[in-house]
Amino acid sequence: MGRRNGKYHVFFLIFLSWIQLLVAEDLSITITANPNPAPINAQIQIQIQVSGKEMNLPEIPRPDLSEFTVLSGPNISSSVQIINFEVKTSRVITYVVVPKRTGTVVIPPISLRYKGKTISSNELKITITKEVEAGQNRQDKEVFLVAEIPKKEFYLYEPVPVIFKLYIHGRVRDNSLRLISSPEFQGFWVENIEKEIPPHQEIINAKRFVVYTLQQYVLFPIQTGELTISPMRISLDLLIKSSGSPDPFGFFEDFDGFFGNYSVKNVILQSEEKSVTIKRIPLESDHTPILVGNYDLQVKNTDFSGEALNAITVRFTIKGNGYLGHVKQLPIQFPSQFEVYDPKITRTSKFENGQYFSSLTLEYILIPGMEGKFNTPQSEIPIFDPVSQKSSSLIIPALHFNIAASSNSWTFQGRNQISGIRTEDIRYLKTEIGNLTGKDNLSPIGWSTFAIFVLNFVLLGIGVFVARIKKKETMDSGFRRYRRSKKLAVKRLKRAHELLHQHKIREFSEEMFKAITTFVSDRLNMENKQLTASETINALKNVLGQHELLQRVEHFLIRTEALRFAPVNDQGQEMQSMYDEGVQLLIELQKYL
Amino acid sequence: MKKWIPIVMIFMYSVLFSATPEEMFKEGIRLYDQKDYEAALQHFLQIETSGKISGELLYNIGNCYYRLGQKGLAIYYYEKARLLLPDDEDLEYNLKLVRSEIPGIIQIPEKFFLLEWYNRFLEWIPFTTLLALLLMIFLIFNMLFLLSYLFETSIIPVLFKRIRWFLVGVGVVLSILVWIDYRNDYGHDYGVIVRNMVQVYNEPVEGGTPLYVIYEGQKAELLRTTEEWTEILLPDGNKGWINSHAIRSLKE
Repeated sequence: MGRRNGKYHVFFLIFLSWIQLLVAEDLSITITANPNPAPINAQIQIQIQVSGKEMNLPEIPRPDLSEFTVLSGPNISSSVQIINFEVKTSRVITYVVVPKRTGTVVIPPISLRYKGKTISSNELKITITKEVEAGQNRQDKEVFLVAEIPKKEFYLYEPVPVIFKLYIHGRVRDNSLRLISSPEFQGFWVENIEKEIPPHQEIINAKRFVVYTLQQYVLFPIQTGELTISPMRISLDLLIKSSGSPDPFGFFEDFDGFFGNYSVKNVILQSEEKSVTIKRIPLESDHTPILVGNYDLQVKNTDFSGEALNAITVRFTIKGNGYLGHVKQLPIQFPSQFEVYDPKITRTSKFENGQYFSSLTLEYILIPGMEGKFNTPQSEIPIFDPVSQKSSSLIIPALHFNIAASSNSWTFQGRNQISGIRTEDIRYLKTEIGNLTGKDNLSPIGWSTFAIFVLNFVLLGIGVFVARIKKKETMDSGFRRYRRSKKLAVKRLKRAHELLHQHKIREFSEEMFKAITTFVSDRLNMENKQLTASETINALKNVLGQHELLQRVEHFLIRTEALRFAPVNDQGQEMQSMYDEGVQLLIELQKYL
Repeated sequence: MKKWIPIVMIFMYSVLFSATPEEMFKEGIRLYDQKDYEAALQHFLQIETSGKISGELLYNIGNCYYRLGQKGLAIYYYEKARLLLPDDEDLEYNLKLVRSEIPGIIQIPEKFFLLEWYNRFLEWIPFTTLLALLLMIFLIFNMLFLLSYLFETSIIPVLFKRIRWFLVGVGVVLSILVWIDYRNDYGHDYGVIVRNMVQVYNEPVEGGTPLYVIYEGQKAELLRTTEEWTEILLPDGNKGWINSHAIRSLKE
């Protein structure tokens, strides 16, 4: 018996090994969606099936379901089949999801490493169509979700109250309400009203609805134009009677009694998308914030006293029924001698009796840099009331500072040095009245400037005049010499005649000599007026050539030179003939020069 | 005869006891030193209303208005003083300081870098300095021109011959700059906003579309003026209409 049992054990082991050997390394992963395409408010079942020939299948990583809201999952079911000695194992992982948007949603392939190989699933494309269940044909619906806004147009910063209400005609399973996606308020500052409002009843088309206020917001538009409030999406379980209609009274929720069994239907509800038009405030300021609504400003103190270099705190509180988030500073012109720090801001808001109230406190720290009395002028913040459509101002009163000298002796060395306090003030008065002028004469160009201009033109005129004269002189000097030559020659002849009668032979001959040579040099416009006899003859050669007049002049000049340096006794006739000859020569030279 | 006595006495009294502008000016300074800015201002304004002004007087009026917290009027008088004292350092400092204390003052926006350099050059060299340079160049030219003919044998003719075209070129450039600077500063009708905050409209009617708001101390060019409305041109190129009482012309 024992031997027979042992034999069976061996065969079983061999059989198991053979089974192991027969296991191929085939592993497949597939991912599917149902339904596909699906409307946006439908629940979609995404299944990942892993199939193989091994007893132990690997763990599958979670797929990328970021485009969905997961309602349930992963739900796992496994199966093993042995057919014709072939083992087939499969594991199915199921997720129930709701899509977040319309369009084509892609779930990328799931990959894993298995026995040295990378195994990947298929890529899954799911088409999500637009289908809004709630808000359309509302009167036909048993349950719907609405977003209520009192009007379509608002001003910038004007409060926009939004209430999301759930209308139910029928029965809902307790605690089945789930928020799938919150509304988005692009372009708004959002205040969430945390206040429970008990449900109430409304009759719509002869149907009684229980109305639940799911959420209240106060939105403050911070930009102009068309703004959109995106839908809120919820899911809840409706209790449907097996006859098809839910029990409108809800008294017998847990009964299977008189009204039959209830089936549960999960519905996705979505409110309508709302658009509002945000208009510009008809009063704008580039720098001062504008408030929309009704406001009041409180300032604890307007008169301050202190010491230089010691901090002073000034606190302002604005209270109203509108948006204050854009107020970062107040339009106060603090003295330039003060170092002013950015204010510490505290904001609060609340709802009372259906009204929104907001409050803003700004606390300024000021450090006066010097002693003295300082004031800030009264200033204003513009306010626009969207109800009355009127603008007004929030008055910021003038502040008065009485600053005493600092009692501390600060040094500007070491760690106690105060840096950054730099006092600036206007320069002192002019102590001389200057040149008084008429009120209409607003120009720096005075009489002195005109006088200098005139002087310049006078100088220019004189310069031009002198230039012309000089030019004329240069051109006419030769002519003038020419014209003067005869006069000079006559003058010398007269002088010679006088000397002749005085019997001064040397002087007479010199005068006659010069009469000829000077005449020639003037006529020929030669630089050197006192020519020698040879120079004179050479100059005349260019004009007279070999004319016999040249010889006579040469002979005459030799004779006069001889008499100049070696005068002989007077022989009146000789001198007279020399005189006459000289006159004759000049007359003839005049013709040629 | 008796009728004339009081008239003569009044005349003598007014001659003897009326303060001269210089005396009022000094008195204004004294009151300013005692921090009685309102009284000091009244003294300075009295000189102005007498029909006589000077750059120094307008500067002092601007200082008084600043001390009294009326920065718009302070800037107005500084701008007016600037027409008479275009290169006064204290004036430029005060104007810059007061403007920096008023938020929302619209300045000339940044331009192409060559235009920026050009504007900075014109601001760096005041109008009177340019004018003085031009007159000096003109005078040098004329003197050298004249002397070169009077002293022909000296070095002057040679010097003149060498630099005359340079002087002509510099003179032409300076003339153009002076003309442009004069036109910029004195060729336009400018004004200063003297009210705290002024709404600018697109047209000169009540109920016109409000465009934007400008603040006291803002300088603007006056384009057209009616009894109630004035059209202005701001340094950034924007135009609009404002209440005529909100702006004072520098030519007033």
